[in-house]
Order: sequence, then C-alpha cells, then structure tokens
Amino acid sequence: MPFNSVTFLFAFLPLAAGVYFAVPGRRGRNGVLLAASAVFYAYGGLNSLLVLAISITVNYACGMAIDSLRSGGRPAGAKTALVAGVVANVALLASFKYLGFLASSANAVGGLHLPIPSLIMPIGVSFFTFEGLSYLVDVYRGRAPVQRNPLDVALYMGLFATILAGPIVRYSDFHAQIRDRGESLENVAMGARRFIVGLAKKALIAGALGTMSTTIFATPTAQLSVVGAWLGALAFTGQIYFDFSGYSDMAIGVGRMFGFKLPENFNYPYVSQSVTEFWRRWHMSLGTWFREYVYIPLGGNRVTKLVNLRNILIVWALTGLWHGATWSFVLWGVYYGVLMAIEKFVVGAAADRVWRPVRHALTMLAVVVGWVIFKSETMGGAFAYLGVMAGLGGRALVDPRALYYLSQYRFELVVGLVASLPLVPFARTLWERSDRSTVAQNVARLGVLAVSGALLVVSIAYIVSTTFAPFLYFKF
Amino acid sequence: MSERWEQGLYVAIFFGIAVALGVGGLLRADRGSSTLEQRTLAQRPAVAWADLVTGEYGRKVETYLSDQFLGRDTWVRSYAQLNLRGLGKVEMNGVVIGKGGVLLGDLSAHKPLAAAQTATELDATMVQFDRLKAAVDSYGGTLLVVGHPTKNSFLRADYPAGFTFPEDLSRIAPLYFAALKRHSIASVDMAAVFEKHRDEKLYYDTDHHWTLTGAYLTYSSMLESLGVKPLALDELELTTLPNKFVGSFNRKVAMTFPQTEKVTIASPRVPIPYTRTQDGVVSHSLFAPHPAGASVAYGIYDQGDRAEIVIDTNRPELPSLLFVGDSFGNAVETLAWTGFDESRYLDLRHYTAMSLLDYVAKYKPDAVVILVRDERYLYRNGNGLFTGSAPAADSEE
Repeated sequence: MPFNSVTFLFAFLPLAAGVYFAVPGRRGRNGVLLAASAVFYAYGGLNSLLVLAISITVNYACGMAIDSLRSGGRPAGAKTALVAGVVANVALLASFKYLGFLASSANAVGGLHLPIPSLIMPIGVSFFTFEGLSYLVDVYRGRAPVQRNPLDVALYMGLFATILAGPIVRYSDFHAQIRDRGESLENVAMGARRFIVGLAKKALIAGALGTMSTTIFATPTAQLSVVGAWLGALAFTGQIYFDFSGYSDMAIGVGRMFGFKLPENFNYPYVSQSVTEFWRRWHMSLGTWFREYVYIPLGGNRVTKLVNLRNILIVWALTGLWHGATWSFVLWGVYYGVLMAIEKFVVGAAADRVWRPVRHALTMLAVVVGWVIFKSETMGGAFAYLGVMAGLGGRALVDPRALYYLSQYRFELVVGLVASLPLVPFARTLWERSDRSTVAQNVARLGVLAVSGALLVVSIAYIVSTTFAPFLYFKF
Repeated sequence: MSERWEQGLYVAIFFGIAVALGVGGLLRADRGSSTLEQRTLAQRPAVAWADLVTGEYGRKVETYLSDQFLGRDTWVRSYAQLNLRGLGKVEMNGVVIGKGGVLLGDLSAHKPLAAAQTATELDATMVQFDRLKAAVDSYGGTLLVVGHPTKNSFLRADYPAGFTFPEDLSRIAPLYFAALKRHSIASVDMAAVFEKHRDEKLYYDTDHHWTLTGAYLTYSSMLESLGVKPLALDELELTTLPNKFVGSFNRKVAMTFPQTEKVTIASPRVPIPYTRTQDGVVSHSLFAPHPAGASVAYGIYDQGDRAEIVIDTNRPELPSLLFVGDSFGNAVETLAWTGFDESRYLDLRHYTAMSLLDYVAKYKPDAVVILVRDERYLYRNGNGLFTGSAPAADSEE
C-alpha cells in the first residue's frame, strides 16, 4: 500500500493512528502496529505476506539459536547459526530477485538452456531481507539483545513505515524503540509535516519529471538532440531524487507519528563536491548497511591498498546488484566503485585545491552519467544515450521538441532545482540566529502551517486526478 | 501562538482533512458514472480469495476509493485548471492545446509504420478490398472508399512548436489512394476537398470530430461520386442547438475550456418519411434527445455509435446504400439517408452478427461506402476488417 495512495492516506493511516492512540500500553500498541503492518503489506497480496512471514520466522529462529549457542559457550555453533541465517536470507532474496538473472546469464555465457524462472518478487523483499540480516549480525555481535517474542522481530522487519522501501533500519538502532519510544503531540505534528513534504515531492515534482524523462528515454536515440538527451537525463536525475527522498520523508514522517525515530536517508546529495560525498548523502541507510555488514567485515580500509580496492569494488558491485538483477545495474555499481577508488587512491587531497564549483560540476556530471546507466534497460542503450549527450554522431545541438519540454516542464525543473538545495535548513539557521519578536514568530509559524496545508491540498488534487504512479524504489 | 498550538494545528489539519475526505467518501452514496469524465466509476469490489492472494483486491479498492473520492469532480477540475491555466501547460491527458486554443490529440498513441513495412501492409489491405470489390461487383453494385483526414492531421500546423506530425501519416495517404486506383476501386480523398474549405470551421475546437460542415462536405462528395444528387444546403433545415457542448477533448481536460461551441443538426426542409431501426429496435429519431438545459455531445448524431442502423424511405426508385464507418460516420449518416431508398449503417467495431462480406452478399446494396480516417488507412481491425465474423477490440471513438 503506497503512501501516496488514496487507500493509505484517507483510510489506512487515520484508522491505524486512531486505534493506536486509543489503545493503552506498549504491548497493546505494538500489537496494533503489527496488525496494521500485516494489513498494509497484505494489500499487495497474501502471497507476499507469506514470504515475509517465512523470512521473519527464519530470522527469529536463527536469532534465538545464535543467542542460545553463544550464551551456552558455543561460539562456533553461534557462528554456524549466523551463517545458516545469512544463507537463508540471501537464498530467499536470490530466489525471487536473481534466479532469472543468473539462469539467463548462465545460458548466455555457457550456452546452456536452463529454464528461466519468473517468480513474482514480493515488494520490499530487498529491504526486509537486509533488516533480517542486520538483526542476525547485530545479535551475533552482541550489539543488541535477541528478541524472545517473535512478534517483536515481526514488528522490526515488517513495520509498515519502512517495509516497502526503507529506510533500512539497523537492528541495533531500532531494538530499544520496540519497548521505549515517545509518542507525543510534537512527534505526531512533526511526522505530519514531514509526510506532507514527502507527498508534495512525489506528487508535484517527481511525477512531472518522471513523465518527461520517460518520454525522452523512450524516444529512439537517433531522434534525440544533444540538449534533448541532457534534458531527459536531468529530468531523471530530479525524478529519482524527489521520488525516493519523497518516499523516505513520508516513511520517516509516518514512523515519527507513532513515536519511531527512523534514520535519515538523504541529505541534499546534489550539493556534493565529490562522488564519495554524494554517497554519504544519498540513500544513506543503504550505504550504512553495506559499510557495517559488508565493507568493514571484508577489512574495510585497514588493509593493503589492493585489498581495499577489492573491497570497494565488491561493495559497489553488490550495491548495483541490490538495485536490480541486470548487468546495467552491476555496471552502474562498478562505475561508482571505480570513481570512488579514483577519488581515494588517485585524486586524494588534491581535489581540495580545485575550485568548489568545478568540483561540484564534475560530481554532478558523474552522477548524471550514472543515472543514465541506471535508467537504461541495456548497457548498449546506456552507451548510445551517453553518446548523444556527448554530441557524438553529428546530432543536432537542440531540437524543437527539447525546447518544448523545457517550456512545458519549466515550473517543475525550477522548483526541483531550488528544492534540491539546502535552502530550508539555511533559512532556518538564519531565523534561529536572528532576534525575532513574538509576532514575527507567530506569523512565521502560521506561514509555514499555511504552506503545508496548501501543499497537502494540491497534492491531494494530483493524487486523485492522475493515474497512480508507484515509487521507483518499490521495484528494488 | 505557542508551539503546542502549532503542533495541534498541524495534527488537526492533516488528520482533519484525511478523516473528513475519507469518511465523507464512504458515507456518501456511490456514483455510477461521472458526467465530467464521461466514464463508469468503479464500484465497491467484492472480496475474492484469488484477488486477495495476488494483490488485485488492493488495486481494486484503490480504484474504487479514488473513483468515489469525496468531491472528485472538483479535485479533477482543480488539477486541470492548475496545470493548464496556472502552470501554462499545453498538454494533458492526451490533449494538446494548439494555436488559437484549438484542442488536438497528442499523437502519442500513434504507432508509426516504418517505410519498409508500408508496401507489405498496403498489399494486405488491398487484398481485403479486392475481396470486397469482387463481392460487390458480383451483383453489379458500386464500391466507394471515402478517406478523410482526422482533425489532428488536417490541423497539423496548429500544433505548438516541438510537436512533429508523424511522417508515416503524410507518406501513406497518397500511396493508399494510388493503390485503390490501381485496384480499380473508386475513392474520394476528403483531404483535398477540405483543403478548399480550410477557412470554414470543419472540426469542433474542443472535440476530435468534424462539425456538420465537415460532415456535409463528406456527404455531398460521397453522393456525387456515387452519381446521387445530394441535398443542397438551402434544401436543409439547419438548427443550431442552444445546449452546451461537451467536446471529447474538453472532457479529457475536465471541461477547462468554455463550452461555447454549439451543435448544428440538419433535416430536409421537405420532409421525407422514413422508418428507422437501430440495433434491431425501432427508434425514429436521427438524433439523441437534447432537452433544454442539458448538455449535448457529438454523440447526438444518429444517437451515437451503433452496431447497425437501417433507414428505409420506401422509395424503390432510388438506390440502396451500405455505409461502413466509425463515429465520424454518425454525422454523415444523418444526411446520407435522404438520397437512398434503404440505407444501412454498420460500425464493425460493434457489429458481430456476420462479416462485412457476408452482409454484402445478403443485402446486395447498390452502393457500398467505406468511410475511413487517414490514421486507419492500413488498419485491418474493427472497421478495417471485412472478412472476420467478430470485430477486434477498437475502443477509439
């Protein structure tokens, strides 16, 4: 049940919140959340709910085994239980997400004729599987206690705020909130405000930029001009940011309404001065997960340069593969791995001597090229599109269609550009530093409130009037 | 205002709106259809186990709640106003605002035909026409193909800059008429006729169909080609209806544009007695009811799309007609019947009783006219399928 659906916004959320706050006690409220999460997830199909239930059961059992074996003085047994749990999680993910990819790749490379399975991937499987892995590793490492009540594991892995597309919450960051979190008027209000921001990002900006990018990317490259191709790439750059960060805002907002403090996922990534910085600001919960559970266990950077390079490339190939089972995604991941390795081992501190706008421009160039690879369905398609952007093949610089897009989507492009800059935090800082009267404070508060209300109303008009647009990250 | 007040207001606004709209939508009786959107609205879905398993039930609930959303028409209209008027967009829901405010189709549904495929497609189309001609020739009848430009095609110069009219539509038309000529099939290219009347209003501004003027030009060209004298304009009683006009394109943009256009209908000044059946049921009127104060759409002509209409004037000295066409034919039909003894009108998108070839063999009409729009010259489905006994899906009006 997507957050931008009529069902969620006007039926599920008010009902869930109403029942939640009507029920006293932590146990009762957790029960309400769990039941609501089951309904929320089952909305996408009971078959998906069954897969989630299996995953929760396996992780609960493995977690109990790890804890029991470790406390019984059998660390090797605990490690075996951890490995079994990791294998089970990876197998579950692979069977739904990668089996077809592996079979088709084997057929292509080895000349085999393996049947290509086509299982329907449960929505959010990449997210809840990563949370399951986090649970097992954190319990194994002793960073957080095992959950003896399976319903608490279910609440962690299946919480409706995060199950579809994150943020991926580390168990060590979450476990305490199962028992102890602060529901308050302040949290509900902050959650509502955050939700409205996310809804507006998705409905007002991502939707229009998505229409533009989809149309341009669907145009045969032979018919694209250089400017047209750049517009398509920039539109997708805006679409994926406002789509996913909008979703994350809504998820964090919904979590906040029920007292949860979920990790931030975005921190204005398009202001980055390097690719490394970009990935510290983009999909932060995924980056944190890979750092904690893959990069550091591989040795991180406390190894030789060569092994460090290997670790970086492994993590980024896996990051690419996590996003989708195609070679384009692998290429996209490796592309970032190579860029980060260059920044780390070749450029190093020399980058600091480059004028900041140049660093920013080069970073954005790398990011936009990355999104073209990400968006393209095949590697050949990606290279052909990038060729047009580079002006290869004697393409026209600009064509009337490109100018039309520029005119048609000028509002969304400008708003998108402005909204991708950290102007709101900047203004807030200025405001907090200034001497302000009570009247000014009240006017400002009412102004923000009015803008939020207006954004909510306009977003509703978009939701009701347009064909439902799923979030891009649902397919991962 | 304290922080607590501010927080309370946030919660009140957010949940107040959500609860009010959610509960309001549920309490209000469900609507069956939307006049604004001109479509059936989803009704409360029945719970089915298979749908629950696959998630289809959730999708049905979402469609239902969205369709029955409290104040849906206002939301939809506001969205259109905001985008078209506020943000100055010229494209929405498949409609493009052309020069002078004329509404056009966005052409995105058109699947261009590569030049290399044209000859093959043309040959396959002519095979059908050959069979139809042989059937008509067998009893001494006449086959006539009337091809006409769509509004998008005729007003292609009115698209805003950045829209490129599909190259294949311009390329195919001359090849199509040349092929008909090679196969000895009589034809009329209305594009040439319309070109001479470009200054006249041949299409509605807010609808994709032609006006009575466009239909009359088609009617008179068609009858002249068949050797039948059409009624002159002064032999027709033209009535411009005061009703508000619901244009198909205007409907797609939530009636954002003023409904100032008017529908004109025509009937012979000297009445010609006739009997009329549509889909086997006697229905005397050539026009859909249009009570004062009610809105009318193009579907007023010949009471909209019908599988089969038969009009008999009981004048055996005149030839009989079989006319095959889509909704563009509806306005032509309200004029064409005046020149024939018995005239039959088929819309093969809806007619399933028999194939066109069987129909021709059964009724042996003196004249068989195929009305086809230029986007469909090489289309062998719906009204382009002469040999099938069941029409393929062709939902376009």
